[in-house]
Amino acid sequence: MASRARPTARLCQSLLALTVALAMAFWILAASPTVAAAGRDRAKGTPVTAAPNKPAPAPRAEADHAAPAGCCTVGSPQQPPAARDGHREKTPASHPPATAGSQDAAQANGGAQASRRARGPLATTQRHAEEGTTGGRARHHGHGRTRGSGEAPAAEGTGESEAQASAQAQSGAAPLARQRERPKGKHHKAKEPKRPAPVPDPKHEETPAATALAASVSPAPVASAPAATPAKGAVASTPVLLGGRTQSASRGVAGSVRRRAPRRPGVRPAAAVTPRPLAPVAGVLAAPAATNGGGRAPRRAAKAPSQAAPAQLVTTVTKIINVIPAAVQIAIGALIALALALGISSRLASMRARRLARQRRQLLEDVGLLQAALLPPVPARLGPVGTSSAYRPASGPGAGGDFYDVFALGDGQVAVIVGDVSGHGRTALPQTTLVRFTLRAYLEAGMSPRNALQMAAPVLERQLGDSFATVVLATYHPRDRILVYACAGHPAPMVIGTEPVAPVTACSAPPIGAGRPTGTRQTVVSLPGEALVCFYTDGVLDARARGELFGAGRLRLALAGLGPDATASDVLDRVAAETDQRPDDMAACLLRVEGGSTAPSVQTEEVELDRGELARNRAERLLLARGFDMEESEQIIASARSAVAREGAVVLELHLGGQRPKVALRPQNVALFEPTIRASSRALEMSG
Amino acid sequence: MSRDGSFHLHSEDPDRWEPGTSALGRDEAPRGEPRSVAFAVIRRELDEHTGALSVEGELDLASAPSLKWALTDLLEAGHDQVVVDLSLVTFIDSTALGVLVGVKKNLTPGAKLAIACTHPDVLNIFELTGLDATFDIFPTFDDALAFVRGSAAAAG
Repeated sequence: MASRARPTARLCQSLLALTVALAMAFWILAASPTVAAAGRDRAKGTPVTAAPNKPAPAPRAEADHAAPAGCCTVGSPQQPPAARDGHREKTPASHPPATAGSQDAAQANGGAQASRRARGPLATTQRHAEEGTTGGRARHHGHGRTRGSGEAPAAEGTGESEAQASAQAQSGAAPLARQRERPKGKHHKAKEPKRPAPVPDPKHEETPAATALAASVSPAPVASAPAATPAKGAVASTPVLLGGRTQSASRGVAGSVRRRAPRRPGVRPAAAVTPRPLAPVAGVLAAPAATNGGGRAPRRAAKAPSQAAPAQLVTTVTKIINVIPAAVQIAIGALIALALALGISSRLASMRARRLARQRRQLLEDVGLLQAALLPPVPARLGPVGTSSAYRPASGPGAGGDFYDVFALGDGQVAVIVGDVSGHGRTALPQTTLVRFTLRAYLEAGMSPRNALQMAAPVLERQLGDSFATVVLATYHPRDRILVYACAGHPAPMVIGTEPVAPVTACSAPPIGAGRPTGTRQTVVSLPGEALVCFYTDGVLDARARGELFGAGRLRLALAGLGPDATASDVLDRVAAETDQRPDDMAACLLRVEGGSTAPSVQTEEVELDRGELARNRAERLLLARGFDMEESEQIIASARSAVAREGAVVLELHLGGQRPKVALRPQNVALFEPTIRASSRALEMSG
Repeated sequence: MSRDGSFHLHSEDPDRWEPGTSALGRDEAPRGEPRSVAFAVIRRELDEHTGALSVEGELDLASAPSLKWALTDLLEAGHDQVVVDLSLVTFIDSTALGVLVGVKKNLTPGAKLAIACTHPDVLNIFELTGLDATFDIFPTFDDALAFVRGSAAAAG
């Protein structure tokens, strides 16, 4: 999950970076050629335009129309481009004038009337407002100028002028409304010579421009500068002042203000010829700015200095945005949206990954618990007996179904259960646990392995459905050194010791759930010396080496070759090392009995016989396999038959430890409760 | 017989068998084609009650499903006297034994299943697992056939 989320996050980051880079690139591109130009425009441009660059009356006229107040600047830079600047030609001039004009307009405000100018300072933060209003305001200014030009601009230039100005600027929607008009208005201005526009002196133009600029840079300190400028009223001084600003003024506002003007042209080459295209953009941009300005101005006026920083930031950002052409803005917007979407999706993915990781941990814990239920941890030692167990699932679909348990019984005995439920995979798991715990319960209740099987089999058979279970149950008495085991369709344990006991497979009890009563066979073996008892599942015998079955012979060899500290894991490792195909699970439990006693050698086979069993002649095979001759076995079977006829079932005991095997017939020691229905039907039969 | 291909089998995929179609003659199919699959089940329908499956090769985890489908197929076709001839089976594992046990447990009352088996290793597996107490195992196919028919006749 995490690996999936990461690329998205990276993509998102790179997209964001790309977006920022794009914005920066545009900013720099647009700014670099024009900053200087703008500076020049401001510093000398305006005056120069007014004076030397526009020798003809035409420029004058234009200047007049365009900006009664600041708008004259609009006209002035517009015409001289070719003459003035190389850059201008490249970067269409039409815009710079517009911008310049707008700024100048704002400046003009400052220069003309305090009240009007108020908008100018306000515009410091929202240049757009100024831009937007330029047209409308310009007219006002024009009027104002006419009136105010004569008045001492110094008064307006005072520090308070800024604060007041902004305070008034808020005066409301007026700017907004004007902005709307602006595009048209501008053009009118530009083209309509009719407008009654006072002919602005270069001086006047400069002065307000300087004032506004100064104001925009920083309210209080700058204000003094313009104050000085108009006071001096010297054309020459203004350019100097502006020029100085261009270079030295803090990057923040002054720089951006200036830059912005020229940037336009760079960005919108198409609009180069006429100011028209710019106008709508400016208007649009101006609208929100003006609105903001109107709403917030009063407060700002109060805390003007403290708000300067955020205000500047906003200005800067706004300027940057302004510089970017609409198409690119859309592209950048789309990129940002994409980056955001990717960022969100990657965030969601990482959250999901974390959630899944948490769930996985919980699942693993659960699986660990389940695993423990199936294959419990076995202590390394139970009393004097070294114990170990191991499980190795098949690599293929045969996995599942094996189970084991090794535990201590109350009287110091060690009990072992190893089994295999037919069927594989997870469907075998519930039956596996069922069989294991059921058998364990009977063993813990104190039953011998055979009786435990006998009792548990009918219970389990009803639960197992179509499957069956092979199992071996064993108990070891450390004091008597007696091992008792009973198998149900399962391989007998392999005993490696001083006196190896060969198991006899004849007359084995069937598996649990195979349709026949089981728990009919039990073997008792004494382990006088050091011995190793290995319980295993058929997966061990069925493993193959180059197509041949591993088999019991090789297992015996493998067990005999184990070191003194070997565990069941070592056994299975060895089997795995010697085979190349292991189609079934392998499970093994190992009991290591330490030597050192002279207990008598005991070996007893118990077989419970009933009519069905006797009919199959399986007991005879067992007798023959255990060394009885034909005649003896027939005798034994004959007496068993008569006992079965009387008792229903009989337990045949073969004591093989001594010189001569002894045979004993005992009545069965466990009578199964028959299900009620069967019992009642039999009662009916008998009565009938 | 070993897995190295020294013996060849006629193999049929029981999944492709169509229920109800007679398999007579299938056992006469040529056996000379070398096959890498060391397992085959051949179905014979001796009469409307009696069916037989001849199994060759090794019955293990991989081939047990084939045996299962073949047996199920035979029983569903209405045969209640079934002989499974394992004489040519060299190995049988717990999965295949499970198939046989499952079928045996699900036999309808009166139906009979007999196994013919001579291979000592396979007989030993039956003995070791105690399933020689569950199944009726005969040394020849004819004995097994006589058993299923005889007991069916006795039941009938």
